[in-house]
Amino acid sequence: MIWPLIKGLSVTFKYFFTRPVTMKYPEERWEPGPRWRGRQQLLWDEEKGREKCVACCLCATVCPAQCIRVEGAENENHEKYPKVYEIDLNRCIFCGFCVEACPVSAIIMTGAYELAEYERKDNIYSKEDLLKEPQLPGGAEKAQTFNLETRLISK
Amino acid sequence: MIRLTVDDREVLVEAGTTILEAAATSGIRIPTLCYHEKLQPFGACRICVVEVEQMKGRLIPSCSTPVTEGMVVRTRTEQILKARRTVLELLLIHHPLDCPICDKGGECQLQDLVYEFGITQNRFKDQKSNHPIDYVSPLVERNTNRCVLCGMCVRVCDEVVGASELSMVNRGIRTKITTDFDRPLDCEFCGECENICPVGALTNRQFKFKARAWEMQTISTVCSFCSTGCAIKLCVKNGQIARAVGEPEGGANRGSLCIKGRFGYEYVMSPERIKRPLVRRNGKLEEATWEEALQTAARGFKAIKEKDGPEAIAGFCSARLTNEEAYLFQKLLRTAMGTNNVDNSGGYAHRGYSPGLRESLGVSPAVPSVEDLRSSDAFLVIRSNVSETHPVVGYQVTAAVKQNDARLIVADPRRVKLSRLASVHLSHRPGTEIAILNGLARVILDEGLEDREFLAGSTEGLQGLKKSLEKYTPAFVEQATGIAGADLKQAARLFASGEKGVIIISAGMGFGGDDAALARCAANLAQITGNAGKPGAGVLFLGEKNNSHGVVDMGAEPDRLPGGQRIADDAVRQRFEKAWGAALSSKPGRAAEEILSGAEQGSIKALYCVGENPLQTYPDSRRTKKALGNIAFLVVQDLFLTPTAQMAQVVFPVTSFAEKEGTYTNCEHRIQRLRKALPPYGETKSDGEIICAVAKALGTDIGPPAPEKVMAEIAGLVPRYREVTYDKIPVKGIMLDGAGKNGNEQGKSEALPPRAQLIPVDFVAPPAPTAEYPYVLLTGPLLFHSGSLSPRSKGICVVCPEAFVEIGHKDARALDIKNGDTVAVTSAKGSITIGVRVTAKQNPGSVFIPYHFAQPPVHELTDGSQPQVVVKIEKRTP
Repeated sequence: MIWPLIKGLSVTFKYFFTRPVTMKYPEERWEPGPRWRGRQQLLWDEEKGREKCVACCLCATVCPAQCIRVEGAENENHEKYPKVYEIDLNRCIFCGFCVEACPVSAIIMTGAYELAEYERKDNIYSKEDLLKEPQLPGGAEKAQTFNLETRLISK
Repeated sequence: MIRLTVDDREVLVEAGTTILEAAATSGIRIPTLCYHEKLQPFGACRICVVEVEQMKGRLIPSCSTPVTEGMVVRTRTEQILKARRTVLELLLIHHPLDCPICDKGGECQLQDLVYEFGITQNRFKDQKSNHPIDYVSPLVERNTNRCVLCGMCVRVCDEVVGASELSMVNRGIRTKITTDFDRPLDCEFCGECENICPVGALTNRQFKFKARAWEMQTISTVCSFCSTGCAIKLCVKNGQIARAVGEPEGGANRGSLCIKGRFGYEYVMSPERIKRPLVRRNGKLEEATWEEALQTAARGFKAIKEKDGPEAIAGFCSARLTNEEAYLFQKLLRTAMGTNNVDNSGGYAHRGYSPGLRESLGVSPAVPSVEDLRSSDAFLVIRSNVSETHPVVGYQVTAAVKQNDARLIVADPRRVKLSRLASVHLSHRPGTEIAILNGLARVILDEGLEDREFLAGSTEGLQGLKKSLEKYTPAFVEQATGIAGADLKQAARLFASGEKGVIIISAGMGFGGDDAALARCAANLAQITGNAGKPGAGVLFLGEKNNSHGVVDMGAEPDRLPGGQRIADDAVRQRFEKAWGAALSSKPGRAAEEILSGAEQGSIKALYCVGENPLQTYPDSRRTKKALGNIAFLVVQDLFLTPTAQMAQVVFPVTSFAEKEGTYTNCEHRIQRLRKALPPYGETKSDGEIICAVAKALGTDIGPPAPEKVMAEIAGLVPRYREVTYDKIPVKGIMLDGAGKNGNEQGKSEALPPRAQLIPVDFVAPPAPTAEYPYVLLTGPLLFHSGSLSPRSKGICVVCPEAFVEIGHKDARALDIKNGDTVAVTSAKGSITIGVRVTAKQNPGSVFIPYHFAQPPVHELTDGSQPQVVVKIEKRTP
């Protein structure tokens, strides 16, 4: 009768002396891996002074959750740009297809995983929101991000 | 017939067929880039190459090689595929491959072929072409860098549209497609080039960057402008129309469109549209609920009916209503209101083409179909600037002339587009068309060119006609119309020599003689030449608006019930009384002109205008204003707050053509279905729903507004529509009885002439210019606009934003006027100030003002009682 008790508690004690798996979140924050697919970021083209996105809508087309809405328009240089670029992160399944589909490497997945909001509407990211570099948890370096063409874009 | 083998399949085709077409008949697809069924073979792209056993050693372009007996064709050998891949690689050397931002992406033929042939690498390298992109031309954008030099835009513009705006410039790899000296486009802006371009070299500017091809929902419906009734596809994204394209399955147009159809839909989404019903309170129009507006309308009509009798109520309906709505409208007036005072917009300015034709050729005369026009070999286009009023019909005439060498006679006081193609251009004095037609008939009879067999077998009244034509000698005609006798004779001989002759007349030209008389004259000439009732021949009467023919068929006329059946006929009336369960007045009602004069005198007290805007579109607008001001109770139903609506007591907002269902009947009597593409704008309702609601508020049930139910009722009452089932109308529509067929359809109760009638018509000279008013004023439509609706479309207004007066060079010199000056045009009725365009189109002695625009109000100059007015022109110093 005592033997099973010891056997059971031995597991407990074994873990008692190993390093904990859990973290003291939010005091401590986990650093996502290099291929982590957190919320997307639209990239800015410094040379041209505009967003890299040309509103080809391939991301919206490929998106299995249909959470991307793009409306193209013409800017003053007669170029196509996304007048509206919206991702509904409530619906996003973070599959990364949008990144794979993008022919101009304008979108990346970042390490941002803290995406809880009090209201759902706050989780619909506009173009301006998406162009901002996300604040990564615990002041960590920005995560390296997976991309089809270069395989790894790091910053 | 020729027998050949394509990919081991036996194919039997007619001689003259190309290998490509022969393969298509047995379901074998040969890829192409430069072939289009509407155009002559060109053989530019070399994608369609095939191997022919009998022509070993080289690859044969299948699009331009006719079949021969016993030919053995292979379409997919390794060598062919290699050649096709190489051609594509060569095309991709200079192509920018900017598919992500190209509007053609997703429906680009080059993209599809590159994908099909799996080309991922290019063996050839060179610099990408770097031609400047044309951002200046309105509506169509040209990016020559993407061009594959298939030449389809050049050919469609030349062979079909007849504008010849584009051409190939330079040779070899420096070839490009452009205008003379690379100037921006200054053409008809029909967008046919943009539509036919297999790549994104020519794109639709209105559509630019709005949507990708796969994102849109397409709805096949019917264009809302002229009576050609082109089938269009509205491409909708996010509840907005992104673009309109021609429906290749379409019956009348086969995918072609003009500027109005392609770029004119924007009025549907105009922010100026009325959203909610308006009711006049304390002298001001204010928004109201539907319930209140309907009750106000019903109270007003009831009060007048009780006080002044049903005869004091009248109704105008627009020729843009659907068949069902026009039917419900006349039913409402005839049953709920008890009056026959109902007329459509065609009843006023251009009274009576349909009655005129009806007397000569019966209720439903044979009409050449628009498609058949291509096979016709002689055209007489009179009082009908068809290339501008009905451009797609104009394309068919152009194609018949350019591709099939048809003979074309154009009688027009202005030098119009078709004059350039015409064998004879009869440049006559305005308003003298009847004299010309009579003169032509006389020449034909004198020279024995008439169709004696047809005249003896199928017509009546030849002797009477011959007698009446005695005075129309070439000399008399020359004196009356200004056309040289030799020209008249040549025109008569040319027209009579045609196997299939078509006379094209159209409504809405807004000037010149009595239309019923002109219609009879045209019918006479068609009968004399034996062209009445042959397929591809006869009189093609083009109504001004999309449903001009339908509203007449639906009985929106004072003296006729649906189907052109006389209201005075007891048997007919009883049949309708039984069907509608209401007593009908046997007294024919007042026509539009009489309604307005009745209003002036005070005998018409209430007017229900559905989609009509008499103040802007009827002649003599001062008088119209006075008449409408006299009306105690005016109800207007419209998309916009038009000048007429501003005078109304109640205004009902309606849905546009893109937001409702129904049917239209076009000029060839093809009935086609509208399909709903957008949700109703604001709180608008369709005309049919409102008409039924008004009837209900008046305490009468005229049935549900659902188009399928209304059409079932129409099919039961109108012999010509008896075979129409709403749900079964295909995209290409149904040809009604008699249309495109021979002979008169016998309406059961209509006493029809057993034979076509030759009715003599006498020519009455129009008012001549005087010393005080030395110019004849012609009013009419422009290519770019249709009625008063299209100026609400932004895209069209980029091309043609405002009204102008066209003056010929000679007159301009005499008056010392230059292009862009401002002049005062004054008639006995009024005066307007307007900008000038000096043009070679205009002959001396006459000036032209389009009637589409609200400002300046051209109808302040016109006079409803006169076919045309004379004006004087004074230069205004700026």
